[in-house]
Amino acid sequence: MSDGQARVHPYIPNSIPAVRAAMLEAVGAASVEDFYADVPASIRLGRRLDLPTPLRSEVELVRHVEGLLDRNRSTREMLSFLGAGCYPHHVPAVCDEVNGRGEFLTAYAGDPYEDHGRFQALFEYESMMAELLEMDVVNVPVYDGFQANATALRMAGRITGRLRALVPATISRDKRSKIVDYVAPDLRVDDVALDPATGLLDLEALRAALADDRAAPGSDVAAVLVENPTYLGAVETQGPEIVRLAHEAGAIAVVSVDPSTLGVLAPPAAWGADIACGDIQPLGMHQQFGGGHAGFIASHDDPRVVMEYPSRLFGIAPTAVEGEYGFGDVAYERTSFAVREEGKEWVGTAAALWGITAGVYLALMGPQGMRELGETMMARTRYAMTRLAAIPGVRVPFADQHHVKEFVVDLAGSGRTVAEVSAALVERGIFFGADVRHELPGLGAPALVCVTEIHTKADIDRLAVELEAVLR
Amino acid sequence: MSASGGHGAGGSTPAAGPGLPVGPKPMPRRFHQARWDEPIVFELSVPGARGVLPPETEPAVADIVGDPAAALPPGIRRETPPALPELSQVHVLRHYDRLSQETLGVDLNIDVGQGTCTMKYSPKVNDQLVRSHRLADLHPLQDPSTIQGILEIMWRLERMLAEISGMDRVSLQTGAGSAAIWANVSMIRAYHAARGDGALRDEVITTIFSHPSNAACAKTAGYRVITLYPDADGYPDLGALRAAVSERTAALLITNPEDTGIFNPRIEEFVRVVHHVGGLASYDQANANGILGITRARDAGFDLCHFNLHKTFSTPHACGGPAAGACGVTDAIAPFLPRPTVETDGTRYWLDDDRPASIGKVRPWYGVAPNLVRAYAWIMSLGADGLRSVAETAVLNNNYLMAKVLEIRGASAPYAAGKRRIEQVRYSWDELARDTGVHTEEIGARVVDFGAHYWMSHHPYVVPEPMTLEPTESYSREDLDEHVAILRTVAAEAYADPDHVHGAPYASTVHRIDQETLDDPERWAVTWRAYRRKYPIAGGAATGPSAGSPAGG
Amino acid sequence: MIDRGEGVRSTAADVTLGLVVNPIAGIGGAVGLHGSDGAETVRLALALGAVPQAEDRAVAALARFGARWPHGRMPPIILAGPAEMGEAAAGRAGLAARVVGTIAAGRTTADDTRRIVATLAAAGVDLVLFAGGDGTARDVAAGCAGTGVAVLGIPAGVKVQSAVFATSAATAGEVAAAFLAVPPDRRRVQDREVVDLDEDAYRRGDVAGRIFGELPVPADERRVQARKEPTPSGEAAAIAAIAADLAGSLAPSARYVLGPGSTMRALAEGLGVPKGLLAVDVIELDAERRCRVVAADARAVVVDALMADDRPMAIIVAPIGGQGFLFGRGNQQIGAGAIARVLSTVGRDGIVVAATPAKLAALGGRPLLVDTGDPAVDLALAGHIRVVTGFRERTVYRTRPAWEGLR
Repeated sequence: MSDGQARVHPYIPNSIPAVRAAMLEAVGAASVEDFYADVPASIRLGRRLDLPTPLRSEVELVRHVEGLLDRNRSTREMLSFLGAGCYPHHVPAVCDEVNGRGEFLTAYAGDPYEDHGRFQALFEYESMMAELLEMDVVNVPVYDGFQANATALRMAGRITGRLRALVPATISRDKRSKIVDYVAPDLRVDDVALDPATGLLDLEALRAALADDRAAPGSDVAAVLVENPTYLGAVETQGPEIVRLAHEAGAIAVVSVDPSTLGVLAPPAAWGADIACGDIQPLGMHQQFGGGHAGFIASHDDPRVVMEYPSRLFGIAPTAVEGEYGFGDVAYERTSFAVREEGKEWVGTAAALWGITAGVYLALMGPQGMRELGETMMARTRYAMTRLAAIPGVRVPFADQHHVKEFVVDLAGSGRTVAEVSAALVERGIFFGADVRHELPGLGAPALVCVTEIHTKADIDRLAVELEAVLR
Repeated sequence: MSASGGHGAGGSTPAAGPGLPVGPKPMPRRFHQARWDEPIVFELSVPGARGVLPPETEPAVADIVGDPAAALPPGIRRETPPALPELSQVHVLRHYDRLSQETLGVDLNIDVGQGTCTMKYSPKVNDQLVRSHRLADLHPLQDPSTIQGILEIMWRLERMLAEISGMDRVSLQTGAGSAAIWANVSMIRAYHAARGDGALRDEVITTIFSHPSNAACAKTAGYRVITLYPDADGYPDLGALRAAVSERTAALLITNPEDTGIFNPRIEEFVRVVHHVGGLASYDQANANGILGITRARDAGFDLCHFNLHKTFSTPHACGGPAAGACGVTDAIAPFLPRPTVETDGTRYWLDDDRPASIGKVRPWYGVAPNLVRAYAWIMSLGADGLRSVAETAVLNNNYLMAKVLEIRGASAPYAAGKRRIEQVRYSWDELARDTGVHTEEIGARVVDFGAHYWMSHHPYVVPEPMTLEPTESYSREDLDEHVAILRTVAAEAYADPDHVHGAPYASTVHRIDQETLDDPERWAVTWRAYRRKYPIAGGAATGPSAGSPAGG
Repeated sequence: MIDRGEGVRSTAADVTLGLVVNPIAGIGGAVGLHGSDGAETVRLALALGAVPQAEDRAVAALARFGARWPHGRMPPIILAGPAEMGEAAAGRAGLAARVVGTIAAGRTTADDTRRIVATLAAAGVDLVLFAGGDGTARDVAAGCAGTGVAVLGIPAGVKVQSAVFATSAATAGEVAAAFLAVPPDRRRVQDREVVDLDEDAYRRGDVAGRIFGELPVPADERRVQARKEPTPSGEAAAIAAIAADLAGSLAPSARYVLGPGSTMRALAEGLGVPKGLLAVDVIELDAERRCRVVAADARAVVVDALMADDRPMAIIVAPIGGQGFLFGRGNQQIGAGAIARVLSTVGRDGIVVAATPAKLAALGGRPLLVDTGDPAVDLALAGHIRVVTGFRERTVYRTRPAWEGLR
């Protein structure tokens, strides 16, 4: 120890002074200073770090951290209708039980021989997602859905050798920001306007965008991004037509989908998607202030596409023993032979534990559970749309569309902003919907309201009553 | 008591009669990995079984809205439910518990074998803290008045990491180390673009023993990458750097100490050389565990740095994430930080999303919140002296381990020979491989039989037949002795009976995996669905993929 | 469950291994004769008390081969040179061998090696395993020229600079077993250079080496799990990436000298012009970047003459052999004069070096070597040089004169 006085720390077994002395002697070092011989004096800190006084006992630590966390109010204490990419679904107890197990929680990057269970659990995750998506290839999770979207677009760029991506103007501002930062310098991102009547993609604008620069060399469209449901909650019923138009232009159809809706919505592959992607947070992850995200990318088993995944793909393989199987990385040398090798991206630590958890979730839910989940969400969402639309000053602009778990309300008629109304509702114990004025500049005061299977009729009625009271 | 006495494997003879006393346990231990022979979850499916029930729509709701799902247009509505397995709840739990037992977490093993990964103990109390609903069930868009606690923790963590790195601001948004490198590269790109020479500066310099994500992220961002090899003494090559820099240099991305455990003694000069041509210097602090409180990124002149909170700051590795990265920058780079930042007036905390020069979002929301809380709690449990003890102990453990490993026949530590190392060492089994024909991968497969991990090196193998060990502060002297005993045993086997090593693993969940299947588009199967398609059930039994190598059976 | 029922790919019942031992390889080294070429040298070596070692190395390799051969699998048929040219080694390793060819025992020649290898290749062996040095490798290359048969060297000579040798005898046995144990359609080979010195010149102190061909060698790309990093690309992909980068970097209306080797051939292919594997070629781009060959298989005088021009020019080379020679081995057609001219008119940027990361890693930290014959030029090249290692990937690598430290 630098001061020789500090107590032995429970996280540091060899902080016992006698042990340290014996170890130093064993390696012939006078002090730990010997090991830092290569660190020049000019860059030595030369003082103690200026950090808060430590809370060395566990009880003090717990009191302190819990004291800070107690300044939060959770969605268990409040009635929350916030979604917008981070969703309040029920997390089955077994999900938390499994991802809390020390074996999974503290494993890392072992080989299939040490970590067979980790490999199998992630292979099974890929396999269950594959059934949900009706695609044969699914990756080990990337960081989040934003990353999955951005990478899927880059994959399309590498496959086609083209330089443009079309995305709906209604994707979230944050997701757009991530995509633009990430796909540069490979792809230019162009927006396709929404149809103000439906909130869905404007097909004429899409046709124009696809044709737009055909004359200009290097401006062919690599990928068309479709969201289903859209960020604004509507089911993109034009999906099949959008995919057809994309294919006609030689572009790849990338469909971002909320997997929790796939018990009732046809998987994008059924209407022609080439690559599906999205976020698995709805499948068994708590909201965690945005810490529960993980991204998936899926495709058909076409080697041309498989070779462009930057992520890990775990596959099943026989072993030296008859009848036994193990797992390992598929397509180990995933090298792009195309001209644009600069787009290979990287593989790193991402969100594997959430993949395992999503696998647990899907195994618990099964086919019936996923269907019932979708049916319940759709019914309650429609009920909420009906209830809120009846409130004076509230309009549900895209009520004619199909919605699974989110919808837009416009408060413009009330003369109030979303921020004002939200603040008033917090006083009444409710988190109202997300403010989406950036995504829907054409509306006065749009909010995105999320209703899932956790919201009862009574919850929705309470929202309606309180909203009406606030707007009165 | 001494478990490390001179008993080799099988050396403890049974007591003459029945009953106690039994002898001490042999070293290395007689390990066998759990082996449940667990089927794929789809094979456990029983039609009609339910694992969990979602709530049903209330009749009063249905009366009003009907069944909106049924009203979806054809082609958009899912006609057949997804072919997921159907299991009762207990069977799901049992299946995954069994798989977990076939997984070797840090909690179970002396995890010094996964070098560069900083496999340290993740305190359980921190895991308990983040299960609080006041963190787990927070939505990121909640009213600021209801998230003051988490924002204060993020602010405090930022200030602590700023002190530990010497940087002015720290963003906690990225999801892991490589994502943090990406964010730093993106900020470098934005910085030069804002100064008008973004197009000119198209080269990024790194070293071969820096983490490869530095090169990969720079390439992904559109840079040409120049990778430097070590000089004749095994240190990062200053002459090569001087030859590499120019007005085209955007940045130096460098790990220090490098993955060899060698600290670059001329690191200040490296930064100066890069600054001299107008480039930025970014410090990959993935290997910071041995230098906490000793030296800081800012002290060597760096403009940017990043920490891996799942390495140095103890958040669990979680089978490969969720993790967390922290990007530290000087005031000159701060305008480009990912948005939002956490700000405070000393009493209240808020998120500042109005940052026009920002590179934007690198991840949804504000970071992997539970890991930020864990890292905060970990630093709070240690304080300044504790962090220094972490560093010094990690370095002591490493040099102790190195002395013992180098006593093993066939092992060496190339580059900067004879020098001390910081927190890890990249060893070489080159001599053993030449003597015995046993390669590092085979040693790794045999080490598994004693309940430990093993890792070679990133590619290319600049150190021949590499093995990288990183004994963090979490292991005792006895733990280190045990790991050495495993390596010594395997090395001795390589000399005495190389074929035995070649046949390993013997005590794992599974045996040698046929890798060829995984490289063949005709035979690979990333999902059970693909497997069933490629190997259709015939006569009741699946026809499996052939091993390719007829070595089996 | 996975089993190996009907899906089993039928593997040829017979796997055939060819074996050739150059019994006198390496005999000169032990007694300081720098190689063993020439009957006189061999007699001299034996007189000086040298003990032949090639057979021992072959036995070690075969023992390892036998140990690594899949258990229960029918052993390969071994076709071996007679007596001390293979048969004896196989016998000592406990392996039955069929003998191919005839020799005069005790007086074997390079021609014997060539004839036996030709016979083995004609017999359709799956792999030719040979024990010897660079000279033997030359003979093997001559013997199997144009057949495409895979070859692997057991290092047993004084000079083993060629990249066709395994790192040790034991490793050779292993690589051979691993290669033959998989079905033919999944065996992977890499073209590797055969480099040799003229031993008479070498013994006089004049180092002069050249590239004598490339042989398909079993790819020893040990497959390991990707873990937490990007997957490494194979050697072929790495070469393709380098070629793509170089092709994109060539300037219009410029002239380029291309050294020998597969990387340079890949570059030429990418530019749409033919290129001999062993040749030094001069190419030229027009204003539209169309490429044409100005001089194929150019001799030094031709290269010199073509470089005495005012247009932009550069020399593009790949390091040769296991020692990493930039100049002076295998590409002597690019003389000190041409290099000096490029250095004086274009500077260091006019010398473009290309090497895969694996090739650089194999140098084990040693610098790249130059030996142009002109010490001044060698010194001008010493220090650090840019190396293209992939698409938009570079390194700055150390170089030094090959003679430094020798004199």
